[in-house]
This record gives sequence, C-alpha cells and structure tokens, in this order.
Amino acid sequence: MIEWLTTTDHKKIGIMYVVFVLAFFVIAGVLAGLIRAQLAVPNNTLLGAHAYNQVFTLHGTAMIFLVIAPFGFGLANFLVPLQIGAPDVAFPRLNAAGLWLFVLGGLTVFAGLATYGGAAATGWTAYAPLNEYFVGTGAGQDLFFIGLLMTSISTILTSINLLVTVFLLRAPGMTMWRIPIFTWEIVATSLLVLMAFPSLAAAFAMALIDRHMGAHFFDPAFGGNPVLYQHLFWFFGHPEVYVLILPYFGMITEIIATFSRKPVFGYVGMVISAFAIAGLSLGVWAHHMFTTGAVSNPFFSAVSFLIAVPTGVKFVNWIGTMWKGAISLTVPMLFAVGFLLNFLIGGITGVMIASPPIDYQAHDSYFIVQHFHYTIGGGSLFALFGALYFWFPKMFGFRLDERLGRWVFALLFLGFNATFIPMGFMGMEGMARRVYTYPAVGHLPMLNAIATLGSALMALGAILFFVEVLLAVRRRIPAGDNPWGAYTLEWMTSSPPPEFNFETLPAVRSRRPAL
Amino acid sequence: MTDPASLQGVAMRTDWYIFIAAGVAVGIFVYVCIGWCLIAYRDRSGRVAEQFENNKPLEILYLVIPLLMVFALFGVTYAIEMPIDRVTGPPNRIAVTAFRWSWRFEYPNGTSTAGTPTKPPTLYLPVGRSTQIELRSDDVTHSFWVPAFLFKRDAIPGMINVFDVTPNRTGRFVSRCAQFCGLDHALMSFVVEVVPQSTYARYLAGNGTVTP
Amino acid sequence: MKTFVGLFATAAAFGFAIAIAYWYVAHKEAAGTVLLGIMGAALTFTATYALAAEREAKLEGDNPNETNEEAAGDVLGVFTTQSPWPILIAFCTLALFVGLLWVPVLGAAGLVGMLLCFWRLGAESARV
Repeated sequence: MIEWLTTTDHKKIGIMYVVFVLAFFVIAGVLAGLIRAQLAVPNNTLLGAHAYNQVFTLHGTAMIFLVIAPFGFGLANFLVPLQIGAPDVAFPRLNAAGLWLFVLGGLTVFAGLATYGGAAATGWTAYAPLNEYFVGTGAGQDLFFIGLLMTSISTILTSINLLVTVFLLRAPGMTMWRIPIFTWEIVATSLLVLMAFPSLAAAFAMALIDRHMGAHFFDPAFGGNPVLYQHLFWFFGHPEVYVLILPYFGMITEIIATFSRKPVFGYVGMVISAFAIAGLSLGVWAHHMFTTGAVSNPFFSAVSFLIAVPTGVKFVNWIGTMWKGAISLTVPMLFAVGFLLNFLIGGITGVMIASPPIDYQAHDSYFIVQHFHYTIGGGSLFALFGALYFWFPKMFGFRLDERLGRWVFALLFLGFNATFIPMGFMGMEGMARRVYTYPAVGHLPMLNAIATLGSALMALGAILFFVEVLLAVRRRIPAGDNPWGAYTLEWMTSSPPPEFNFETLPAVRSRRPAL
Repeated sequence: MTDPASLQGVAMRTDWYIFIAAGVAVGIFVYVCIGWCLIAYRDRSGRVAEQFENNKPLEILYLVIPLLMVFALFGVTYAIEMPIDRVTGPPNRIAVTAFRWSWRFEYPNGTSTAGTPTKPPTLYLPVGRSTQIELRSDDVTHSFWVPAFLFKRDAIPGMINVFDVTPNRTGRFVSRCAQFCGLDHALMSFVVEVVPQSTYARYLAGNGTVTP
Repeated sequence: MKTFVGLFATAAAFGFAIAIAYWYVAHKEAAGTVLLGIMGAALTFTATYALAAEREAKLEGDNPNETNEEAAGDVLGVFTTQSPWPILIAFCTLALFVGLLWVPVLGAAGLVGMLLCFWRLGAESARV
C-alpha cells in the first residue's frame, strides 16, 4: 500500500489516475441521478433549491475537472512513454505530485459538503459577483476555489512533464512524425493547458482576494467589473473543453485504425488539425458571452465557425481510416462508432450556437446543456469507455468480457440519447438551465420524464460496467502482449509491461512498429 | 419552434432554420458515410483491408468545402445579427431592473411595477411599435429572456444594456431569468404582455392602475 | 527537435497575430488583448530557447534510421521508482491554501513542510 502511495512509476500512477477518476465518476453520476430525479416531474420537492444548486455545481465540476480531464492525462501518463519507447516520463516525482494534487484537490472541492453553508452552489463557472456572496458562511465556495487551484497546478505540471517526455525521450528511430496520433494529441493538449490554465488560476485567485482581503476586482459598487471575471474564466474555459476532447480524439484514432486494419488516414492532417483546433480555441472564449453586450460578437462568431473546419478534417480522416478497411465491431470499436455518431450532433449544435442570433435564444437554456453533453458525454465519455476496454488488457494483463461489454455499450448509447435528445427541445421551449424546478407547461413535463428514464438506462449501463470489471478481476483470462493485433509500440511489450517498459526496445522504422 | 412575437424574432427564426437545414444535411451525409463503412467494409472472412493513408485531392477538397460553408454561414449570421443589435432612439423607453429574485419595470411616465418570486410581474409592451429596453441589475448578473422573442440579454451590475424590440402580435408570453443568480433563480420569472397601442396608452395614462 | 522549434515559433506568431486582430476587431478590449499578447510572448520565450538548444541537441529519437547499438550508452536521465516526497508535497500544498484562508498556523506548517520536502527531494536526486 505504501508502495502505491510513494511510487513514481508512470504505469502505476496512470492506473491510480484511472481508479480515482472512476470513483469521482460514480459520485458525479449519482449527482446526475439526483438532478434527473428532481426534474422528473414539475414542481418536485425531492431537493430544495440550495441542495439542488450544490448538486448541479458539484456534478459539473466533478465531471469536468475530476473525471474527463484527469482521465486524458492519466491515460497519457500510462501510455505516452510506452508509445514512444521511453522508460518513464521525464520527471517521475513531478508526475506523482501531479496525481496527489489532483486527488487532494478533488476531495477538497467535495469537502464543502461538510461545511455549515454547504458546498459551492454557483455552478462550475462560479460567476462574479455571485461568487462573492456568502463570505461568512460560504466556506464551500472557498474550498471549491482552492481545490481547483490544486487540480490546475497538477494539470500544468503534468503537461510540462508530458511535453518534455515527448520531445526528449523518444526511442531510436521514433521521429516526431512517427509518433502515434494519441501522443500528438497529448502534445497539443499539453500546450493548450500551459496557455489557458494560468488564466483560471488568476480568476480564482482574484475571487479569493475579493472574498477575503477586501479587494474589489469584480465588485461594480467599487469600480470592479464582473465581465472581467467572465473574460478570465472563459479564456481558460473554452480551451478547457478542447483539453477535454483532444486526448479522446487521439484514443478514437488509435481504436479506429486498429479495428479497420488500416493506417491512420491523413496522419499529417490529423496533426495539423489538432494544433489548429488548439490555437483557434484560444481565440473564441467570448462566444460564451454573446448575451453580455460587452464583447465583439462578430469576431468570436467568425473564429468559432472556423474551428469547425479542422474538426471536420478529423471526421473525414476517421471515415477515411475505416474506408475499404476490414472493420471488426469489438467493444472498443462500438464505443468509437458511438463517439462519431454522438460527437457529430455535439459539433453541429456547436456550429449553431456560434451564431449569435441563435445563441440569443439558446444561451443558458437546455439547448446548451444538450450541446455540451453531446460533446463531453457522447464524445469524451464514450471514448473514455472505449479506451478502457482497449487498453485494460495492456494495463492489467487480462481482458474484459466482450459480450457483457456490448450490453454496456447498448445501455449507455440508448440511455445517453434518450436523456439528451429531449433537451434540445426543452431549450427551444424556453426551459432555462440550472433550475431546480420548472412549470407544467408545454411539452416540458413529457420531455423531462423521457430524459429521466434515459438517465436510468445509463445508470444501468454504468453499473453493468463495474460488475464486468469485478468479474474480469475474478476470472483473469490472460490477454497476451497484443490481444487486438494493434500497431503502436505499447503492444510490443508484455501485458502489463515490466519495470522501465521494454526488455529490448524494438527498432522503430515506421508509424506502425508492431506491424 | 416558438412562433416569434417580434420582428427581430422572425429574423432570428430564419437563422435557426438555415442552420438546422445545414446541420441536418451534414448530419445525414456523415451518418450515411459511417453506415456505409460499417456495412460494406465489415470484416468478413477473406476480406483484406486496402492499405492507403492519403488522398491529396480529397484532403484539399474537404478542407476547402467546409471553409466555404462556414464563410457562408458567417455571412448569414452577420446579415441577420447586425439589425438586431443595432439600437436607434425610439420614444418608448422602459427601464428593466433585475434583482434577486424578481424584476422591476419603470415606464416612460414614471410608472413602476415590481414582482416577487411567487407573484411574477407583467411587462406591458405596445404591439407594432419599437420599444427600447434598458437593462440594469441591483446585485448579481441576471438575464432577461423572452423565449417568444427568441431573445435574451444579460443584466450585469455596473453596466446598462440597451436593445430595441418591436412586438408583432399581441399575447401573454411567459419569460424568465436565464443567468444563474442564486437560490431562487428557478422562480425568477415574469410575463410579457403585448397589448394594442391604445391599451398601452391607457395603461400609461392611468399610471399603471388600469390593467389592460 | 526541429519540430519543437517549429511548433513553438508558429504558435508564438499565431498568438501575436490573433492578439493584433482582436485589438482591432474588438474595439481595443483590454482583457482579451493582454491575455493573447502574453500568450504570444510566453511562446516566444520557449521558441527562442528551443532554437538555441536545437543546435546542440543530438536526440536519438530524431534520426529515423538510428539503431539501439548506436544509441546505447547515452544517459537519458535518472528515473526513480519510489519517492515519498510527492504525496507529502501535495498535503503541504493543501495545508498552505487552507492556512492562507482560515488557519494561519496550518499555513505556516504547510510552508515549512514544503521547504523540508524540497530539501529532502534535493538530497534524494543528488544521491541518485
């Protein structure tokens, strides 16, 4: 046990990231269940206003900062050194510090539940000046800020670590243009983190200084500006959602190539589009502020439309990878296909709300909730499950069951779409987000009831997944080095890999060294 | 889609329709391609995957076509948005102030009404005339959302947001705050009642005592 | 390594370009321009360092035909397998933040603890 607490082995650290991520996922999922239970019928009394406001705040915060983001970095921790033929990351102790800062930071956010005023209840975005209310009884809000400052430090340190690792520790023959697409996406993600996260740290630090040291950065009564908070937050916030998707683009690419039995189509296009997305994402932040009247809507609308282009390039490249291949619908591939179908909807609704006349209606409504759940949930979360099924054998040496996996996929896919398709219509009918109840008008009661039923299906799928993991641990069917017949370097060592990863480093002469 | 109750809303609904059409077209095209791959290229015995990784003409094509599409979509957006955001100086100016958790409406003649979470206030607007709304907040950021107008604008403390709206039909339209503002955000609603111009004039003349 | 330089140089140029474009289009909005400009500047620092480092760097990974025998003997770095300091540093960070806000004694303890951890870390890395 002490061995795990003091390890600096990237593989163990990566596995611990995954374990803690899954634990936070269960908690955030339960919170989502509470939301859907409260909204199942209009004027429900299951959760009062303050309880509900804490629940949705913690749900969003946990899913974004404690599940989707750390899984990308956790998997990168495990995988990147293996994919480039390195013995570990460049700074193993820094790596471990990143893990524990993430764990402690996440627990700190939830510790708010134990305080007098409850946990943070201002949404994961914690806008000013709302975030400056309740200083005396608002310890939960402070714990939210310092917890996320800790996770932000963790992410920044991990990004530096991964960048140095990829640039300096590649095996002989592993040139930058031969590294797997997953590793390229991690490079782009890491660069994005370095550019964006300091802005979040600034916003949160300024909010804490306003709250505790009598400053007035965001308080208009004394000349401060609430819109400044929005600028600082969203300058981080929009790149953050690309941090939440780029690693998953990489996972999907590896899975599709493997199960189409083909090389990645348009490798160079994939690399350039990753950086185009990352770069452009730093210029679109105020599309979250179209309704403030305080920003140049045309500038941000134009750049937001532009991001659709490199994303489209990726989509065509994925289809091109499948084209004329030999596609086997294993469980990872099912999740990859689910990703494509879901993320497309997220992307299309995203292009819609990049148009301010549409956003004037859609902003802060359930239309937005639908959009970001399709990208983060239908996209990243599905890729997360696909990645778990795909790399589980490499991490542990034994396999997850394919047949049960199909049931997990079916329940998650059907449940997810049943939950979130109705939300687009809820938004168009005028249902705002972050509301603990709604009136019994129009189709809202029916749409909400369907969404709640869908969420129950998703919960079943998630439960079945954990059952499957327990069963796999019991049965321990050996997986072998390369159970999928995949192409990248991590599949050329044992499952799990030995200490320092490779008994003998294979010669790298192409993008598919295992072929 | 809500039947718009304002001229600006009609323009915005056109934007919705154009984007929905484009979105559905792209969606169907991509879904068909994916479906085709899953069916035609299924790994049956003896199937050998063709090992290609490039197609320069195709790659250029699907860089250029989406670029042209987004240029067009931006053009449509800009053309529709600019008249909506433009503020002229119509004579009917109403000051709307948001506070936790209801609204206060001050009419040109000084008449003022305010509401509570349990008794939402009513905003009277004359049909067929342009009204200028001045949005303020007493405390945190709120948002003035009238779904029937397909429109919202934030009420930010320290700032005054101004916009014009021309209702094009009478009726009662349930509206609400859209920016999370704390405990009773869910109850912070109001009603927009669009009335004939004569009724509106009588309402103002009676200092709000004669409800239309 | 050339890729490293190219990446940061292109990103720096992009940062400055979009900062200037934003300044004009957004009617001199200060927050966004400063953020984008600082981003361009930060990337320029890294690109400049990379440019100089690139001349001296001889990475085995950059040679497409390098073999293990040719690369053998190069010291990549020191890779530890165990260290107690990272998790302790994480706890000290938490103590520091909590202390800054509510319990100054705890904050002081966190600060002292962090210094101790880095002290021992220094000894540990020099030893190996």
